[in-house]
Amino acid sequence: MATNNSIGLKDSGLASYDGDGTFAGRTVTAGSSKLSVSNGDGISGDPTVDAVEANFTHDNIGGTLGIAKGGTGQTTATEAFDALAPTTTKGDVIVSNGSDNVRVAVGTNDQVLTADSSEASGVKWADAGGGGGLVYITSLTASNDATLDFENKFSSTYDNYLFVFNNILPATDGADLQIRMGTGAGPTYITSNDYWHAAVDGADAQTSYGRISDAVASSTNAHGVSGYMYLYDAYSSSVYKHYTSFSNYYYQFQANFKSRGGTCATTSTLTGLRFFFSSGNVTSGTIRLYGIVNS
Amino acid sequence: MVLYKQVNGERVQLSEEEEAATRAEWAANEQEAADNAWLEGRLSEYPQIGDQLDMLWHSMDAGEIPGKGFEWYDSIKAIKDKYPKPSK
Repeated sequence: MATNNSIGLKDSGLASYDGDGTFAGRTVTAGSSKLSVSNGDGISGDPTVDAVEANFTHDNIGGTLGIAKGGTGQTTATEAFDALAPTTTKGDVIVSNGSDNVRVAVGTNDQVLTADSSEASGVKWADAGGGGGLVYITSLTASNDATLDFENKFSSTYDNYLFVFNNILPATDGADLQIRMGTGAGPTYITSNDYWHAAVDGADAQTSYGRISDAVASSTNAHGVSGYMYLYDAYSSSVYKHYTSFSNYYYQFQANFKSRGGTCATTSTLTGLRFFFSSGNVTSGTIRLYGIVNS
Repeated sequence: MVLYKQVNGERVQLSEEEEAATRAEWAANEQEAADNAWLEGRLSEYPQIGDQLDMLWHSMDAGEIPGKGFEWYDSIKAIKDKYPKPSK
């Protein structure tokens, strides 16, 4: 049977005094498997507390590891990357200066990143050299279609556009490749006699369409019309719409080349450009549309 | 045969109104082409303008038609004499 000793304790172990005249027996224990306690009651010697390193994992340690300790101080991938990145402003880029990753501040609108070994970072923002160039927008490939319509492809980004046509084959022998321009929502294609066009060998009559080629052979062996057409100021709302076309094709045992210029008497912004033959479907062929960079 | 238009890569069947208008236009264009076949035939087979003028000059030179001694005949002859055609 336990008996009280001289200071009133009846339990074995460490003595704890509450400051108010009472002692109690206590034992040191581990709060989790991350710690081990030996001789917790101190009876056989001094209690020892040790960390069980094997039980410490990155997932069961609270808090975050700061950059100074090799971490990021953050808890999400985006925040962690942001904490390490030197960038500060929209459009900034990170490049290597040969030893460190450093910030290159964003340039001004329309500049391009250019390699320059004299710069500390090895690159700089500069105006695009030479300017110009083509930007592919879209293409249409015919498959027995009455018309090929490019709609809502013009914008203020480009003043001028280039259509390149490959082997546009008519279903009807002797048909002419033609265009119409569309305006407004929809769009509505202009079918009134508002097109003037001329070839190098003379002016054509005023018509309800723009003419690209003359008669084209429908034989697949003739491979239709190939060529290109420039369209000017398509998005303008103040000038007539001009075009210039060059086309090669074959008809009745003759190779033909036709260069034409034309105008559609509308100042409205173009919202559509339609290719078609004077009779019959477009059997096959591809037309690609490019924007011509302003500069 | 049903007619389609291709809009931005999507095939769309023409409405009855659109198809009727398209077929009417095709028919009109085919009729116009037939009516002008004689003209297209001539234009496609006429010799080049330069060749036609050369024929006229040679006819003048041969005395088949008048023209010798006129400015146009003489100016052409002067160039021909300056660059004579080599004899084979």
